[in-house]
Formats: sequence, structure tokens, C-alpha cells
Amino acid sequence: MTFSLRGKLLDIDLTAGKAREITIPEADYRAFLGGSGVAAKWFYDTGKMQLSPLDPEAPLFVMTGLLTGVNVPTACKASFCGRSPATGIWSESTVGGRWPSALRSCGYDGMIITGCSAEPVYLYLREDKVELREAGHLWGKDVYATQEAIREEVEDENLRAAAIGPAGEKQVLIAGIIIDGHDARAAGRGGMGAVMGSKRLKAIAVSKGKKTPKPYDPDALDRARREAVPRIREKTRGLTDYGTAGGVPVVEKLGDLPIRNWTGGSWTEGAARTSGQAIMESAGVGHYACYRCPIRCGKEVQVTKGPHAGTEAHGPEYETAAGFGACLLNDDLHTIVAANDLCNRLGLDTMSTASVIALAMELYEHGLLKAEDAAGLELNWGNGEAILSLVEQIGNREGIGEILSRGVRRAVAHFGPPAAEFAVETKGLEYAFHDPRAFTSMALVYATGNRGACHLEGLTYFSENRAFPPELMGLEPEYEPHGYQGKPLLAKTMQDYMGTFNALGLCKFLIRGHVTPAEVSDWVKACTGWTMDAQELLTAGERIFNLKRLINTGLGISRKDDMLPPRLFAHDRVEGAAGGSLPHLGKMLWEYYRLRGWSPEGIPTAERLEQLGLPSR
Amino acid sequence: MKTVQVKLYLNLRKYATPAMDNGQGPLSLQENHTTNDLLAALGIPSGEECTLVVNNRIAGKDLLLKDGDQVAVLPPVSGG
Ligand code: SF4
Repeated sequence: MTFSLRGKLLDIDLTAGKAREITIPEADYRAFLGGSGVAAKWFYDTGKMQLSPLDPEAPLFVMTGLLTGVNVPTACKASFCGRSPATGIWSESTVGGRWPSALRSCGYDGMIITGCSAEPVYLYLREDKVELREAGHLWGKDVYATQEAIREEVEDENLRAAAIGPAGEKQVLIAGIIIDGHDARAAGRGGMGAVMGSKRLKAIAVSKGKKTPKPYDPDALDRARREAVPRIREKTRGLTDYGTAGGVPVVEKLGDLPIRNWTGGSWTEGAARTSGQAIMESAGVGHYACYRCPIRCGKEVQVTKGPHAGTEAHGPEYETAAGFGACLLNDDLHTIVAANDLCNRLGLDTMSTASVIALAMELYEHGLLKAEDAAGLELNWGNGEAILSLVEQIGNREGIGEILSRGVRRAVAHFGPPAAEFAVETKGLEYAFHDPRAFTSMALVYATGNRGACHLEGLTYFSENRAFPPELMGLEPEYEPHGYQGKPLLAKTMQDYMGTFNALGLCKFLIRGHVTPAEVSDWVKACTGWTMDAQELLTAGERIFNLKRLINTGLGISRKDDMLPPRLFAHDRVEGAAGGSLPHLGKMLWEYYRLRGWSPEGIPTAERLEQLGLPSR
Repeated sequence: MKTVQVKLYLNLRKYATPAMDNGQGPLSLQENHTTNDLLAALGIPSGEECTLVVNNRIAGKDLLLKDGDQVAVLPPVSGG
């Protein structure tokens, strides 16, 4: 039996300006699937975890998923992994679009990048070829202009680039990596753009090749896909029509929206004005799909404000709409659209950027930050002009942006007490915009997330709200939204399942199409020829989750870090559907650790590690 | 009889009655009617996943409704 999905890995040393090809053993793929799973395995094995994230020798793993590029629904993702300069722990930032499948079509599954170039460079990949090219003329350019310039240079108008903007170049700690230029999909979280910047690597550009891996059993895969796609399309119609931001009014009604830096309970009119429907009605120009995606949640919009008014851009997704909308009490959708576009051009994570601006606005409200500290800007809630100006200052590390560009945790340290009251982060990562007081299983997902306060590692609000009915995972069908019973098992089960998605290169919105582990394991079987059932798939997810935890415990993480910020833990909202609710985190953690086979301090036990085939340190 | 104010969200607007405008408006119910009866009165089949929020509180399917209650009927959509 041949494992036909394996490509080569590039080991690139930017200091020496050299690249060599290496091969990942099939056993690593079987145990860790690919993508961020294999990256975690290789990161652990390098023994380089202790290196400072911006040390030239710190490795940056760029990995496509096991199924990326193959004709499987949404198999379009790649992950940027390593140690985050924002949090100091494991980080993976995953992105779809078209660049990952283009990379794989060149015969490469990914790359490990170490070292630091003396001068700015970009990597240029074609089928079986890699070149390091001088990028001094690109340094300082925004992400869109960077891809355009490389396209002209190599004379390939279809070339795709993963690039950093000025934010990554300046090592802004909340800088992301943006792919596909103007189409702008973002590997935003964890500051991986700063890691690229620290290596003086402006972009990884790819001209499409013809080496996309072939599935082992194309007929079986075809049958499975035909069965899945109509159901996925039918169940995700709302995402297709209005994008993820279509959910803004619904989550507002459920008390899930981070209104006014997570203090407000209701914002019905504002939610309606900043919803995906409103955005599409007044600014929408089209729809966008990532490679192989039947859902098409991407939107294209007209920018009407800010320095790039008059251009077309990628539309704001839910997280961006909630962050630059409700969280800042800004009900002007055109400001949200412009802020999103600015973040993409500068190469900033929209979620962390909106969070740190919310912090600044609350500091301003309390007199801890004055207009004279912010170039005369009145940082009132909802002030669109101030929001756009702060985005630029953060991306360029200018003025007050110098402090805010370090993220919420470090900014709070700068401003001193009582700024910590307003800080919404866990392990140094700013929160995604779903409230753990509204769906309390999310308290566990955020507290134990391997990259910090990440919603995507569990997505249990989909389960609690029955967008992904829990019985499809063999769990209880109903949960008391503000209670704690049954939630540890829900969180663990969903984390194990979601951990397989970044490894396989699949989009997590598949669960909105009710895609189950049995179905995913059938796809893996058809693609690889392996035997794999749903349980084996979930065990692989559990193995991957534990390995990342092992990396983090080696960096000092334990129960003391599995926390919520005071605002979400002890400060309930007074109104709205989640009014009065606070998550029983301590109670849930006991049960969660027991189910995980971790000690009461949150450290994986030797027995559980052995069961999972992981080293016991 | 009692009258409640209903707001249907997103795709559930297709169940609006003629008395409603843009998925929003009054609905008359019998005195003993619960949230479940409200779903039946709107013709929402039991297989259609939805969450009910009554007077800004998440409600079960067997809550006895009162005259003047504000009822939001939400599909299982939760952003991204
Ligand atoms: S659902 Fe959206 S984010 Fe996911 S693959 Fe499709 S277009 Fe991309």
C-alpha cells in the first residue's frame, strides 16, 4: 500500500541562505495526521522550545494539512506554528484561501524556517524548486502591494503569497501573516507575523504546480463527497448568504456579544446595524470561497472610509465585526469595513487589535489615558476616526500604538493599576468574541486552550446552541447554558475533534454542516488507504492536544494559567440573556483534568501520555 | 387569550404570520399556551433547531407565556 499524500518538507536556514529537502516518516503522519499536529511533533523533537520566540534560531513551521489540496470539502488550510512572541507558549495560526493548496501543488507539505537573513528576502516556490530572493524593495509595502509586486517580478499573475505587512516587519506582537494579497485571508493570531519579521522574511510566494497529492481511492472519496456536499450546503446557507457576521444579531440576543469591552448586556440596534446582513446590503459587492469550499462564507465589500476609501476589499468576518463593532460600541459598519481592510494591509490580527483598542478606550474613560497621550485623539467609545487612527498607529508602532502594539497583557503592565480590571486575555492571548458567561463550556475551552484564549480549539458554543448537535459526538443533547453539568466532557470531546482539523487542513465550519468524526475518518481512509475509524481519529486529536500541552507545561504552564480574566470570571453582566451568569470554572476544571488524565495541577500524567504514545518528558 | 410579541431571526423569518412585518409582530395564543405551543402556532416543525429567548432570558420549550411577553426565536447560528 502506498501512502500517496506525502510531500517533501523544506528545511530552510535563512542565515546561511540554504534549503534542503527532508521527508516526514509516515508514522508521524499516522500519529499526528499532518498540519499543526506534525508541526507540534517536530517542534517538540527539535528541543528548541526554550529559545526566545524572536531568537533567529527559533523555528517557524509552515505546514499544510494532510488533506490540503485534495478534493475534500474545505481542504484548504495551512498552519504557521512555533512559539508565540505574544504569549511565549505554543502557537498555531491557521489560514485557508488558495495559497496553501498552491504550496502543496509544488510537491511540498510545508517548511521549517530557522535563522535570520542579513537583508530582507522572500521565498519563491515553484514545482520542486525553491529560491531566496532579495526583498529590500518590498520592505515597507503593505500586504496587497507586496503580492502585486512579486506577481510582476516573476511574471505570474496567479501567484499567491503569504506576506507580512509593516506590522510584522516592525515585530508588532499582534502581527499576523496575510495570504492571497487583496483576497486577504489571515493567519492572525499569536503574533506569528512578528516571527517572520524577526527573520527578515517578507513573504513566501508560490506559483502553482502540478503535484497536488492524489487520493488513494478516488471513487470512494467521490462517493463520500457527493453524500456530504448537499447537506453541508443546505445547513450553512446563512453563512453563504451573509458570512459569519450574519450571526451578530443572534449572539447579541443570547448575551454572547462582547459589548463595550465585555461589560454591556444588550445592544440590539447596534447589532442589527453591524450585522452581516447590514454589511452586505450597504457595502457588499460579492462572495468569496476558499479552495474546495462549498460553503463560501467569504464576502467582498466596498471600502467607503479611511485612507483607502473607494477600493474593494475582503469583508469583515464575525470576529472582526464583533471586535470593531460591539466591543468598541461602534455601530458604523463602514468603520468596521475600513478597520478590517487596514488591519489586512498592515498585517495585523483584527481580534487582538480590536481588543487592545477596547482597552485603550476604557482606560480613556477612566482617565488613565488622556487625549494628549494619543496625539489629541478623543478615545470615546465608538469614535470611528479614533479607531482607524489607532489601527494605523499600532501597525506602524507609532505614538500610543507603540504600547498598544504589544497586546493587552503588556499594555496593562505599562498603564499599571487598575488597568488589569479591563484586560480580557488568557495566557497573553486576547479573547475571541464569544462570551464564556453566555455558554459556560467556553470557559474551559478558553482557559485550557493551547494557544491561549482561543475559541477555535473547542467551538462548544456551536454544540450548546445546537448548530452542531452534541449527540452527533455521542454526547448529551442539551446543556443548561449557564450551568456546568456535562460541560467538561463536552469541552474535552470537542477539543479532541477540533484538534484534528488543523492537522488535516479542514475548515472548522464543516461542523455547521453536521460533519462527524465518522465522516472525516472516511475521507482520511479514502485519501490515505489507512484503516482509521472515528475513535482512532479522535484519539489522534487527543494525542495532538496533549502534545501541545506538554510543550506548554515545559514552558511553565499549569493550572495557575488555566484561568479567565477577572472580568469574565467574577464580573457578571447586569442585563441581557447572560445577565447574572458566571462560569463555575474551578468546579469544571477538576472534572476536566480527570477526564484528560492530568494531575490536579493540570499536568498530563505519565500513564495518559504513555497510553497516547507520547514521551513522558 | 393573550398576545405575545414575536421576533423571528434570519432563516426563521419564513415562518412569519401575515400580521408580522419583517419577521416581527404580535401573535395571539390561548391562556394555557407555552413556548412549545408558540412554535406550533408559527408552524415551526420540531426538527427545526431553534433557541427561544423570552424577555431577554433563554427559555425552555415548556415555559408558560404571559400576555405581553417578548419572544425571540433564534436559529442555531453563532457567528464564527
Ligand atoms: S467556510 Fe469560509 S473560511 Fe471555511 S473554507 Fe469556506 S470560505 Fe473558507
